[in-house]
Amino acid sequence: MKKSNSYLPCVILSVLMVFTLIGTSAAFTFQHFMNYDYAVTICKQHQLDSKVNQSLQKYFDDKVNTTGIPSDIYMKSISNQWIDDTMKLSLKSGFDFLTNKNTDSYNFNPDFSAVDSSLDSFFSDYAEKNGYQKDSVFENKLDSAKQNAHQAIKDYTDILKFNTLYSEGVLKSVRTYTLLATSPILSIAILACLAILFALTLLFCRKNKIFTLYWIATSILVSSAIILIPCIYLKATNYFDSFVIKQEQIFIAFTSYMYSAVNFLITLQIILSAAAVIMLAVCVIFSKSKKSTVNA
Amino acid sequence: MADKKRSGVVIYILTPFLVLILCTAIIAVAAIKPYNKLSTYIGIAFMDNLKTIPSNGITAGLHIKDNNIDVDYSAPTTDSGSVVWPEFGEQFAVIRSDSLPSSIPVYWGSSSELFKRGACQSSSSTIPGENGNAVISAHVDTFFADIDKLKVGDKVVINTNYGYFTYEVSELIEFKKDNKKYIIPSDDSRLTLYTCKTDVLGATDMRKGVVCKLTDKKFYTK
Repeated sequence: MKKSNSYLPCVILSVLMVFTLIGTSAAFTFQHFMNYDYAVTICKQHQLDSKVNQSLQKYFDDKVNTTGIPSDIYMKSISNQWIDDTMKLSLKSGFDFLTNKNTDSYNFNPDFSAVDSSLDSFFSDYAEKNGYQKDSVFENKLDSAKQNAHQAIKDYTDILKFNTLYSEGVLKSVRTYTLLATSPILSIAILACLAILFALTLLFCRKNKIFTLYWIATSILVSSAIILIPCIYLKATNYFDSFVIKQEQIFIAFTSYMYSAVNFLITLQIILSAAAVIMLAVCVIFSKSKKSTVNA
Repeated sequence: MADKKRSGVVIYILTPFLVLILCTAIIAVAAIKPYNKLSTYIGIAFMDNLKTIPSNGITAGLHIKDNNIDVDYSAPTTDSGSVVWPEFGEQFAVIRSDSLPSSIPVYWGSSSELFKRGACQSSSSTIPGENGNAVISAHVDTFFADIDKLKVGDKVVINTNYGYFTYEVSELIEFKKDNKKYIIPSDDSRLTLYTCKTDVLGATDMRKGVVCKLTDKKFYTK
């Protein structure tokens, strides 16, 4: 520091270190949250199976007016456990697609045999009681009722909307970033980059090595501030509550994901900032003790 | 010597702020293009400024409001005036016709909760009193169960809290649910009432209803 010709390179290295640290935090957070296990945790934590059950009950209740099919015909074959398994299947299919670059299609095919069989019985009973002819029109109606039920159940259990993202082509773009962020090569590259930047800083501060800590602490504090300020804003304003999809299970899954990521980032940055403050304190103490030794 | 020491301390203190400013400036410049690309999507995805939280499967932010619509208004009226825009979920009108057994409350907006309470007017259609197509629908097994009783030439009155509007049935209609012909905006003042066509089992794709032409409009003065 005393030598002004080392100041500018150290500032440049510090700026580079800030961006590397931001990248590290982002990749670390992405790896922590973008996986099947965490999504399942969210489902359990918020009991999304019962919320999906409620939503489906309401959906089929509303449809009685136009279909004439009582909601219990569907709901008696849909238990919370079945919904939970179907949600997990949707998440597994989604994350399998996101983490496997060799897959070209997203497949979410739940087992609808119980729903189908319940509809078969209802239609058959109805036809027998009312003398309704089991012709091709009857078969088409039955088939249409099954397809509508399948689609509705898939829509409600696909809590992260993988199917919509896939059909809109967004899931493929997300996969590119997911594969990049979860790649071990990226982690190694980031660590190597940080090591090189630390080494170069140490090189420029070789006459007063303790100042390496000052530059590292500066970089950590700045990167933390850059991440913390928007995160605190998002949390303080409950920004994600303005998410436009208000289907309860989707809203809860999405907002829980986002707020968990924000909380995680805030905690991580507070820990890093505390470490940076300790580094600065060590730097000050050492430089003072060094000066007092020289003066003595 | 002391001045040099003081300036050194100031530099140490100011350097983090300098680095912060540099990094923020770089991020701001680098983010301009991605932000422009993403801002529309972010705006759409997070457009609910009320930040309503759904619970128990109930439509979030729906505040149902019932009003007493005066159908015996006797004070002076005018042929022109201004409409009063209701809020989503507010009852703003009643439909009356000699061919219908009872008057039907009309709510602004469509949701399953509102359909249980009356007919619903799509908030993307024109409000009665303004030029265009006012589109109102209801369930076939409740409020529009007797829509078949309306015949060409029948009078239909919409009473609102700002005026009443008289229409005459001009056409009986049937259309597939994905056919938008009867629900898109029109140049003339009309009222479109429709419901699902009754079917045995399974969802029906067909809709039935009436198109009515405006014959008289009166705005309240009080």
